[in-house]
Amino acid sequence: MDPAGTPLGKMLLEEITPVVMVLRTPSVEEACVKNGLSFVEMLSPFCNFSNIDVPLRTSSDQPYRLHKFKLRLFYESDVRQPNIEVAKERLKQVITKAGEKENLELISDPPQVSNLLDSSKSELLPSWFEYLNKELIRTASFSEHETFDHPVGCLLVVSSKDEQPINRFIDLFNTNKLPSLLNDGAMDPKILKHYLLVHDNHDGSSEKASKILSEMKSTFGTNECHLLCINSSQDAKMEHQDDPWASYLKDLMHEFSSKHVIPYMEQKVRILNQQVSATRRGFRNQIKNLWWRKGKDDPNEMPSGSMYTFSSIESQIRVLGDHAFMLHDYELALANYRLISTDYKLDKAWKRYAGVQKLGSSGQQNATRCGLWWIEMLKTRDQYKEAASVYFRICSEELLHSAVMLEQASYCYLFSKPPMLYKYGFHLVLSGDRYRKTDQIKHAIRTYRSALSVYRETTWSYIRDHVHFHIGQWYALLGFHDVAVRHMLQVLACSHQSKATQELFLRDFLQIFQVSGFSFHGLVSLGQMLSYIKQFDLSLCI
Amino acid sequence: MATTASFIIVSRNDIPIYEAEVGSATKREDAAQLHQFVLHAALDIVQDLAWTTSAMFLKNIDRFNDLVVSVYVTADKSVRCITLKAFSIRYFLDIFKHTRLMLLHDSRNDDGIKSFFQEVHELYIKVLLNPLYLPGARIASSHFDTKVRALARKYL
Repeated sequence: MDPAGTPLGKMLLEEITPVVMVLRTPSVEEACVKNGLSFVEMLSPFCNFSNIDVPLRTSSDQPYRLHKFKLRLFYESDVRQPNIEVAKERLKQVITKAGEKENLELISDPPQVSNLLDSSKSELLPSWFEYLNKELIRTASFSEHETFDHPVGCLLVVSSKDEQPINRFIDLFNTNKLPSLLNDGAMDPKILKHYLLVHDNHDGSSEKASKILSEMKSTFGTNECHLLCINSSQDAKMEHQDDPWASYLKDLMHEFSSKHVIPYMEQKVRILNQQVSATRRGFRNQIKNLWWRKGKDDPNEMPSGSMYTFSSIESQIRVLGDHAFMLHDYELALANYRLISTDYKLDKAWKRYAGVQKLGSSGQQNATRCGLWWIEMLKTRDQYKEAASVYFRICSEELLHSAVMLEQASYCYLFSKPPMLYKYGFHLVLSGDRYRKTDQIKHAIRTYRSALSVYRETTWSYIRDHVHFHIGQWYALLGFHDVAVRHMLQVLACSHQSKATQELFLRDFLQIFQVSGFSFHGLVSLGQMLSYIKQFDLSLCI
Repeated sequence: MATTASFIIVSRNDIPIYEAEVGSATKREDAAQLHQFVLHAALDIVQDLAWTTSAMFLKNIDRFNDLVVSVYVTADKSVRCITLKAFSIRYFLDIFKHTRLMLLHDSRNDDGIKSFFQEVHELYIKVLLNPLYLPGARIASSHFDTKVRALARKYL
C-alpha cells in the first residue's frame, strides 16, 4: 500500500522525510557564497534519491528495499516553528481568493444528484483543497510535538581555512546555540553526528586538508568524517552536472544516507519497537496502564510545558511511527499512530480535569497535520467514511479551519461506497455555516448550493427552511436579488415554524423583494405569490 | 435532569410522517432544525446497518457531539410503487426500505428507549390497520400524538 499515488501523498513523501541539521562555520558559508549558493542549497539537490536501493527489514523481519529517499537539510537557526499568525493570515488569503470564482456558477442551479454521482472526484473537489492542506501541514513544522521534523542527524561542517578545526567542530555542537528542541527534552539530543571538512581547491592544494582529515578521523572516528572538495569558479556562477566535483557531492550524500542515516534510523526503529512492544501492547499491559497510568507519568510531567518528553512512552511511540513512515514501513507507522490517538484522547481528558492548559494552537496544528496524513492513508484504502470522521475530529474552535475540514469531510461522504448523500449534505451545511461566520459569504453560498443538490425537494421542513432561507439571505447580500427571492419563496409556507420565525421569514422576503422589485422579470406570477402567502397565519400580515 | 429528545417516524421514502420533540428540556429555537439535520444524516447509517442485522432495535448508531441517534426498524414490507430516485438505482435493495422509528437523545437509557420504541411501534401498527389511513402519509391523529408524548414521559 503506497500513498505515493495521490498528490497529497506525493507531497507527504517529499516533506515527511528525515531532517538533517547543518552546523557550519562562517568560512564554509563564505566558500559557498562565492558560488552564489548557501551550503544547504549546494548540497540539497544531491539529497533526493529516486533509487537509493538500500536493503531494510520491517519490524516483522520482512526484507524490502528502499528506493525513493530524501533528506531535508536545515541550518540550526531554521529548526524552529514558523510564525503561526503569519501562516494563519496566509491561509485566510488563500481561501478568500479561492472564493472569488465565477459568479455565474454561484447563481446557477445546483447539479442533480445523478450528475453528482457520475462525476469524477477531480471534477467535484475544489482545486484549492490540496494547496491548503499542504500549507496547514507546513505551519505545523518543528513543533516539539511533531517529531517528523526533529533532526535525525547532524552535519558539522568546518572549512580547511578555519584555525584549529577540531576545536571548531566541538564548538559547533555547543548547546547554547542549538535549537530549543534539543535542549528542552522534546527530543533525544543524542543524534547521529557526521563531520565534514570542506576544502576549496581554489585556495590551494588539498595536502593540508588531508592532514586535518586524519586528525578528525582519529578524534571522531574513521567512518564519521569526510572531506568535501569544492572548486570555486572565478565568477559567481556555479557549474552544473557535468562538473567533476558534482559527483563527489552525490557520492558523499549517497554514502551519508545509505550507510549512516538509514541504518541509524533502522536501528532506532528496532530498539524503539522492542521498547514499545514491551511496555505498551498486550492486553495485560493495557489494563496495567489504566490503573497505574497517573503514577507513571508524574515524574515526566512539567506543569508549564509539554507532557511528553522524549523519554516518555508516548513520545517514543510517536518517534517510532515517524521513523517507520520515513523508511516506508507503513504498517508499523499506522499501528503506532493508532496507539497514540487513543493515548492523546485519554491525556487530553486528564489534563482538562487537572486544569492544565495545553499549548493551545500548536497542539491543534499537530493534530491537524497528523490527521491529514492519516486521512490520506485512509483515502488510498478507499476508507472514505473513516476519513470523513477524522476530518470532523480535527476541527477546532478556529472557524475557518473547521469550515474547510467539514467541507472536505462532506466530499468523503459523497465518495464513500455506497455514497452517503445525507451526510454529504449535512456536512456541507455545517461547513457553510462556519464560512458565513468568518465572512466568507461566497464560500457559504457555494457549500449551501451544493447541499441543495440533496435537499432541493426534501420534505423535512426545518431543513428546507434553513437552507433556502440562509442561501436566500446570502444571495441578497451579494446583490443577486432574483435568485434570493426564488429561495425565499420556498420558506414562506412555514406554518410549522414559530411565530417569530414566520415573521422573520416574511419580513426578510419582503425586504429582498422590494429591492429586487424592478429586476424581477415576472419569474413568479403574482398569483403564485399569493398562493404561498395564503398558507400563512394572516394575522402576521397586519 | 432535563433531557433532549426528538422523535421522528420516517417512511420508506425517507419522508417524515410524524415528528415530536419529546425531551423534558425547554425547546430552543434552533434545536428543531439541528435535530432534523442530524436525524436526516443518520439515515445513511441506518441504511448501511439495516441490512447487516435482523435486529429491530439499533441503539446508538450515530452521534453528533453529545446527541445520539437510536433507531427501530419496523418490518413492514407492504408492496408499494416507489419512484426510483437517482441514488436508489445504485442499490436495488433501497426499494425495500422499512419504516423507521428514530430517536435523537442525549441520555443513555437503552432499556427505556427500547420499550418506548416497542410501544410506539404497536401504536403505529394500529394506525396502519385503520382503513382510512394511507400508508406513507403524515400521521395527523392527535390521539396518536398524545399517546406518543405520554409514552415518552414514561420511558425517556
